[in-house]
Amino acid sequence: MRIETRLAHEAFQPERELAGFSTEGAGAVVSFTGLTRAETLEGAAVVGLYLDHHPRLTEQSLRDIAASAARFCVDAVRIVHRCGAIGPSEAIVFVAAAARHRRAAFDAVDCLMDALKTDAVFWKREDGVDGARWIEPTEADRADRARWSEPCPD
Amino acid sequence: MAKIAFYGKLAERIVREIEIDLPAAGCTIAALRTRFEGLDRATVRACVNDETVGEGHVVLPGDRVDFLPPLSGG
Repeated sequence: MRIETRLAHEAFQPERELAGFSTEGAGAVVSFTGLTRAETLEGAAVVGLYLDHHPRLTEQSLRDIAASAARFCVDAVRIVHRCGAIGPSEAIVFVAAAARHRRAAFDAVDCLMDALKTDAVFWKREDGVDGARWIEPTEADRADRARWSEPCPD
Repeated sequence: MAKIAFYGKLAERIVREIEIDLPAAGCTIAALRTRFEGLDRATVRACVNDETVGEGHVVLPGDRVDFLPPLSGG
């Protein structure tokens, strides 16, 4: 399985990430892009996000999470994740998987996103018009992550 | 000297990075925590030279210590 990960310090274009993702021989490519939401959970306008990161452990976590997709029958995965100051509607994360069959590609991307939401080494501050707050994974995020702790289907 | 780094809300509240003097014999993570406020052992993970360590780990001069608050995830 080919693994491509990148920590992006500047804004990136998801469509260019997809176009540059080599998928020769694949029968299915699934990609997901996460964007900064315009509102907080409480409905206040978001001015932006700040993603703090560790100089080595963050990139290592992206590589480890990407490698976990080996449990699915995928040929290649790509993860691009932003750090630093991110404006509203900008891309935060791009995940793609290429596989011979669609189910493996869908499952790999779904699983990788759930893993990123809880295990990626980031500290996220949401800056709203009503103030700033640091965000931690929710119970829903942990439940999503736990979905993938079941044994692999044959 | 040892470099101590903080992340997320800890960096905002304490500082991003600071160098501190250590005795040649070093000092434990548990002792180091008491030098700063809010380094709750239940929630703030300690890493030395990029490896997670326990409370009894001895930090030596030249080491880099990271105190990591709970991850936000991506």
